Amino acid sequence: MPILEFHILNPLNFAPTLGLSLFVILIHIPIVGGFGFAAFYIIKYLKKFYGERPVPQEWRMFWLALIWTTIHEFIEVPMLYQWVVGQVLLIVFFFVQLIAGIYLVWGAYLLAKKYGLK
Amino acid sequence: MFKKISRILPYLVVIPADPNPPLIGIKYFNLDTFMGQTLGWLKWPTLFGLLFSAVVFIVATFYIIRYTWGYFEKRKISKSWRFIVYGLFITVIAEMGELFCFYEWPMPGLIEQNLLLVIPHALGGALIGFGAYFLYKEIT
Repeated sequence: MPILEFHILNPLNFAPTLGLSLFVILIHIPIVGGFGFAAFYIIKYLKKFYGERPVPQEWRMFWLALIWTTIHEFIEVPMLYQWVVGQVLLIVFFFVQLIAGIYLVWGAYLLAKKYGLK
Repeated sequence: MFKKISRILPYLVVIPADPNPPLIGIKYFNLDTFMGQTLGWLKWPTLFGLLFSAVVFIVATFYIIRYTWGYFEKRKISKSWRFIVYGLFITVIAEMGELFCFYEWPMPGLIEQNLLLVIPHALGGALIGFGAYFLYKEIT
């Protein structure tokens, strides 16, 4: 595997037909956009719900998990289309996965601990 | 069983990346390659990262379910949190599908691509997104 390479590949040639290639592009809207949308509305929810009060740690962790998961999903796009190939990309992907995962479990655990785990 | 799946699958298929994709691409599964590229020393960190992603979504789903049980107690769990829980759970399937497709590339099976990766990933992302939107709408 190369250290890092950039390729110019047309995403419209990804699948055997143009319609399917377009579909693959569009399917990334709910995949990447879903998590991004969630992060956007969670921060709006927290600002509205807590107002001037400090946001609890569990909610901050949960929001950060959504941000890092969005980055994780976003990295998969150049990976799928092979626009970026190489060890550097995989290393970055690995660390983003780790950070997103840690925040997700930590945030969910703290939420559960506060209300559910007694 | 396989014949039955073969008959149903074309109606659910969204990506035949290869003109003649196999139904299941498990025989092309190779831990030494990722998207067709030889991994070398990155073999184990990559596998660990992909497995870790799937496991954290399982654990997070468990804790979020416990949170909703504790927070809502006898009350009905709100639509927003039901969407988020289902989204997290379905994303576990998508993360497993990702693992298969990355290692089977360039011949991932139709089942792995569609039923394990694309459909659950899109559904999971959409459910979490809408869940967060409904959560916000509940207080506005």
